[in-house]
Amino acid sequence: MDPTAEQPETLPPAIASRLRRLDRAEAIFDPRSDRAVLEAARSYFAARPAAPARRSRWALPLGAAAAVLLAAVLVRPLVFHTPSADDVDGSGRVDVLDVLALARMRAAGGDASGITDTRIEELAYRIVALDSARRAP
Amino acid sequence: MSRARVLHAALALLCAAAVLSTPAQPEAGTFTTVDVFVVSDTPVAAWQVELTERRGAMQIVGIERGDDSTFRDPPFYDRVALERSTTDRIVLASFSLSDAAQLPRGKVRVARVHVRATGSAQPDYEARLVAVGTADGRPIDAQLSLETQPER
Repeated sequence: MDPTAEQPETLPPAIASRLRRLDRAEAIFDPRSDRAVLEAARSYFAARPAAPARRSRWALPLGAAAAVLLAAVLVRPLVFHTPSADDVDGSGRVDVLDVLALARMRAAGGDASGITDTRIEELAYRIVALDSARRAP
Repeated sequence: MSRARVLHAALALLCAAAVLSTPAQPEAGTFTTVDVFVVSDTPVAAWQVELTERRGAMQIVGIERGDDSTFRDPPFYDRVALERSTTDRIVLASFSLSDAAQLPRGKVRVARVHVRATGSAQPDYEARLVAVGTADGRPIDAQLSLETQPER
């Protein structure tokens, strides 16, 4: 059976009359009621003392500290050069002299140096790589 | 039509077919060797050079070490560069752990690059010395020069 199909009214008269009473139209407020409510609200809030603006005494120092910290983080890479692991001789650039330094350390210390021939070759091929993705920093 | 004329026509057709079926020879290009020299009064233990062809029209077909046997053969280079049909540059580098007394000084040929130049214009090479150092790893001032020779 289709529930949306209109059914003939079969409710008992008492229930039907109570439902009709509930189904009446909404009350409409006229502009005079709105104005009265608005004026009452204004007079109420006008009588309340204004709350003073509260600011923590730590707000200014904390803000300044945060600003300094942010500036330090942003400027750090420009001021302090982070040495690359490939910059063996600490010259600030990675080139064949770093490969030579690594090879000399390997020759002097042998296996105890912890430097392998593979690492030396890898660095050597990185410094001659044409593509930036494979190039030494 | 005589038999001789028919025979001549058949021969001409055969010759034409033979000529047309011969595959076209690829353009050979110009092969040159580019010798890279480092000039230094101090014995050289490590060097790094960037070789550029300004028009970007060189094909590197081979790389050899220089005259001094204390350096490895061949120098380090990007192997991808040899797989490319053309490239505009290549970086070469090598080092030696020999004693300073055995290392070369003066004008030393450190590498020979075999290049196939494409196009009709003369190749225009430029080299830059990236780094040169002594046996103890100290950087030194040195000069660089190139010499090109046609191979064929």
